[in-house]
Amino acid sequence: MTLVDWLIVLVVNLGIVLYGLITFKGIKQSFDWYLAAKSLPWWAVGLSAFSTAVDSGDYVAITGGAYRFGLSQISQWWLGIAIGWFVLSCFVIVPMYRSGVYTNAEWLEFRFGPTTRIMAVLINLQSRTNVVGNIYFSLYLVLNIIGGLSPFWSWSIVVAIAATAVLYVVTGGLESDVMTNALQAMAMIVSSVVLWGIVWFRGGGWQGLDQKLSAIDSQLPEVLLHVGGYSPPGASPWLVVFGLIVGLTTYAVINQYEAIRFLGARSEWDFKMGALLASAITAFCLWFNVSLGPLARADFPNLEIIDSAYPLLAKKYLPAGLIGLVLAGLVAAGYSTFASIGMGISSLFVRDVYARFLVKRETDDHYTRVGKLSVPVILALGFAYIPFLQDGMLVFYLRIAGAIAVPLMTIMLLGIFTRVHRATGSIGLFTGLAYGISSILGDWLQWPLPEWYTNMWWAYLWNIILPASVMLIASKVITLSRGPATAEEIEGLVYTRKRPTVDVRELMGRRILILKDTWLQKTLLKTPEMPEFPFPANQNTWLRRPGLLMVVYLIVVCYLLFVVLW
Amino acid sequence: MSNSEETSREKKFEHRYSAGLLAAVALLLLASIYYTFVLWPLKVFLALILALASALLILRSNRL
Repeated sequence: MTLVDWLIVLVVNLGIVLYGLITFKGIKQSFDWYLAAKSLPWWAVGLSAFSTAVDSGDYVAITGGAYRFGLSQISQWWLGIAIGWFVLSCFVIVPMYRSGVYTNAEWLEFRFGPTTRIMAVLINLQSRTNVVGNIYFSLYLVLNIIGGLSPFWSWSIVVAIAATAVLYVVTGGLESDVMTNALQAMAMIVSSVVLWGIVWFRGGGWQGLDQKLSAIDSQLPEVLLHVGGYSPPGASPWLVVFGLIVGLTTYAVINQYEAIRFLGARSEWDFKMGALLASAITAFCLWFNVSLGPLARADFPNLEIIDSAYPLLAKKYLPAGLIGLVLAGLVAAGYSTFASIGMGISSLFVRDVYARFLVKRETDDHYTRVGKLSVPVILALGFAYIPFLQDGMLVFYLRIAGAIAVPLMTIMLLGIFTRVHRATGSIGLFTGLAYGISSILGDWLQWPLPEWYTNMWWAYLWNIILPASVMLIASKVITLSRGPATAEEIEGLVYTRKRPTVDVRELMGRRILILKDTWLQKTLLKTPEMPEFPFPANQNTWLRRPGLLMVVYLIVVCYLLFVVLW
Repeated sequence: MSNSEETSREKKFEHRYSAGLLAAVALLLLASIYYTFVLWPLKVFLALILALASALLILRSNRL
């Protein structure tokens, strides 16, 4: 890389960091720091949700994953994450937003009790620090291979990036995180388009790719260039695609670091439109990243570390100047996710662990300060995963997510859509976790268990069916002995199309006796009620119905995935 | 200073700051042609787009 390339990386990324530091500083109130005073417009929510979901690990790991799995990967980015964002914004987040909670784990305690709250924190912490580890490793690979830096300098720069991301989150909170995310999203999109365009046209387009893959192995085009092409032993292509879709649907539904930017929106309409924008941009950008996988396979058919595919392509095809532009986008992707994970997990730590169980009656300033201090600690935990990532970041992530994160999504969805009893949440969650963990151990330690039990793709299916069935049966048993769940237990906590007639904040503030006079109760009661639309209610425009636009999006994407590209 | 004046000043700063960043990247892209002529039309095209976006942001900030 030349001096100009490094300067481009510096100007783009330090420029955005300085913007965050200068524009959003001195935020002291917890409501402003954690929820941006519920002021975020739809475009900021959408761009931020995109740049939070897609990190530099995704650029590198997704290309590495598509090097092995081919275009089947695209199903999760076009459909899985979109379904997740639509379910989140139209249903799951609605009662959370109306009730004034700051975190989804907080809602879980109101709905299912404190055990589910703690488990949600632990699952979020595990899965997000895993992602931070992925980003560290991917940035290291990029700096080492593309930048030509020694391992020492590559790791030093990775640490410096994480440290500077901490700075602007600490000073500006959620607003700084979201607004810098919006700028980083632009750099990321440019980066994807530039690299893909050059590799695609120099490689002879679709036809050239098909020919090169056929020359390596006549079966390869069938496997890599079709959404339904990849099927490992014991799993059909439909099951693989189902697993991939559920993987990212789960991501969007359970992650507090995604949920927090929706909770910070200025109206319900803003987070729904934000979800739509995020889905459209993700679909656009990830087409480029995923299809780079088969292109890399055609160029480098025998890679030992598949995650080096992306940096090798960049190194081979990009001249001075453009290599800096692409690397700038990758680093921006790392920054955006570091900041968002730091912000999201710190809100979980402070509200759901520290203020809930450890120090309950301190000042508002105190809890904001603790949130700020926890950000660097959370990001440091990501380094613990580095030794496990050598076999491919995506495979490790998919294995763990199917076993541990999917049960949490299942109980959240049952909590939102059904009137199951409060006690059933923990039962469902532990059932799913027990299956998930035993399936991982059976797989890794080669226990004599059937394929359908230990295979990672089957885990995505069983971890929906098992916890849901157990919860419904348990709820039925409780209903038979005690009667159905009362309105007092679930009012304001399940999804209803119309706004509740009772004062939900008052109800939430008084619901759990142990919270009396605590900071958690005071902040719940003080959270303002937000409108459904940011414009006058009588303004009749097609934009008032984001749900319809989401249906159109889903129809188009399903047609492309299951007809055109299948 | 009223709230609206402060917001307008902040917006102006944000627009001009972003415009400056875009212009700097455009210049660096053009400078990279000095290292190699490979794909120079693409670099010029990208630099032009960035310069245009930068000019639009400056115009918008002047109207605030």
